[in-house]
Amino acid sequence: MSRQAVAPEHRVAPTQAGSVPAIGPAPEVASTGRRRTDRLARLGGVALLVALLAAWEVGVDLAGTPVWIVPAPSDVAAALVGGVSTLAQAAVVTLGEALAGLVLGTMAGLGMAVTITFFRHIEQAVLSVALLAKSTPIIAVAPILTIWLGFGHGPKVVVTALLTFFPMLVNALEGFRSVDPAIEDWFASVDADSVTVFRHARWPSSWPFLFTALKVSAPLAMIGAVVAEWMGASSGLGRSMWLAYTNLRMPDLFAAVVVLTLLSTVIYHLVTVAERAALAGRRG
Amino acid sequence: MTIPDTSTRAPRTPAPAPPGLDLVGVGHRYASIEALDGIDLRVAPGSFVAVVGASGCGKSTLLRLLTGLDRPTAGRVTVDGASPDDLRRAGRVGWMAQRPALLPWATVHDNVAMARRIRPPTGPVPPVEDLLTLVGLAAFADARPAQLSGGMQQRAALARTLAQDAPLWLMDEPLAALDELTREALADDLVTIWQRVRPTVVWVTHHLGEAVALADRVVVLGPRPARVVADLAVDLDRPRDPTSAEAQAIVRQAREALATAARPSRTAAAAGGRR
Repeated sequence: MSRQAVAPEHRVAPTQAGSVPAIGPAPEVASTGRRRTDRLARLGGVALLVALLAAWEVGVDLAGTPVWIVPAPSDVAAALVGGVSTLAQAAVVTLGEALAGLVLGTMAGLGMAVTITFFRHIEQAVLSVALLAKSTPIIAVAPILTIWLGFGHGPKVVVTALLTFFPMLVNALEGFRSVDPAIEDWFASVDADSVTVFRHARWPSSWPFLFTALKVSAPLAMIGAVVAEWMGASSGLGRSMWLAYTNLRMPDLFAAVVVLTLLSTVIYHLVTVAERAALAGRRG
Repeated sequence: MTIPDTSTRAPRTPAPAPPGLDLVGVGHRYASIEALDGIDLRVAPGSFVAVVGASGCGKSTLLRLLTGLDRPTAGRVTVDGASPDDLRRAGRVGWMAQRPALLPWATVHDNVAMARRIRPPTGPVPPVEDLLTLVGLAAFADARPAQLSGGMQQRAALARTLAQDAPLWLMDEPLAALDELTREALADDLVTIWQRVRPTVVWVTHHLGEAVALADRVVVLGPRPARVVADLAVDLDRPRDPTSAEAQAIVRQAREALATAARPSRTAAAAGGRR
């Protein structure tokens, strides 16, 4: 099976992903106009969100929908304020599991990609197994892991790692191969060995691809941790959601979802900021 | 304890002897494109040969064959009687491609120093800073390639090639992106270095005046598939005045050779189109 056939959804072209204002500081003069449009666009987004929330609030109120089916935004806000310390504690647990799994999965994916780059002939074998692991429904794996590894953090970290290693593997492989042919020729003309070429050409060439992978896998890590917690846990946002769900405490469930969404968004933006810093200077 | 005198401490290792190049009936065909056809060319060790010809006639291919990065599909290319690979594997080929191909993530200084990092020089070599000064980029040592203009990138690539201290320079239009004045000044500097170090130089250019100003010999290639249509000796003292009557006469000869070579092939192409 060819690598291209594996998972096109994970192979976002980094040029597209990073081309927005992500790479390099925009020149001062030209950017003022764009910055104004950016601000307008952002204001528009906020306005739309406020409008939706208002419609939701009014709609629920007018229809008299019970709070245990659809809570009004004000109910969710109250749950957020009331449960702030519980939610914060749960968020810290989930965040820790997600980050541990992300680091593990990223390292595994990166390590596999490096190995494949140096030993081409193992590519098909490794990718077939990786694809199997990736294709196994996580919703089925999580409870099994909980049975095996218990209700602690272990299964959550493993589930998260399983979810995140594949985007990194595929993108890193692509990145290591993305070296400008003219640069490859130059290294060949000075007869550089494969380790040197990796260090000075393949590795730096892959950075945009690695950040693309992280933009996919970092928010995915939060979801992985929550799904695993839902299957049985003593703490974490998934546990909070499950408790709220089984007790039909919809405002609490929604509050946990809001926290999860905010965290994922923040993580995504942190990756974007890191990307901008790391790739600054490569473009004029 | 005495402080060693740095000027005499390291005995200067003799520069590796410049190689002689030999092409016999060399042809190159890639897919359906025939770039070179029956090139016979012998380049004496330590000589400076300019190769001129129309754009796309296969000049770059010729240089790639001499680096050993590509193989001829016909004939034989030898460097000092051996495969071009031998000299390249010894790290002694300074090939400057048409595109600068600098590393975008490295500073200009690190780009220039890269060949030396890969293969540390055995003898004393000019510091990278001096090479940057030579090409007029001393103030840009810490800049990234993206911050440089096209001409500046090409000068950085030139410094990178010089930093290899190779006994063979294969230069693919190394001054093409430069403005007239910079080009002339840099060409003068390069000839001075060449006279001191005496590498074998194959200098590809489409600029006839530049070829005559620099080289011992101007080899004119016809249109694709290229063959040698003229081989002109440039027996003029250096530094040269490219506007002198003698220089202009050689430029004229080269131009006529190019024009004559272009004519029959155009007729042939027209005939082929009608078929």
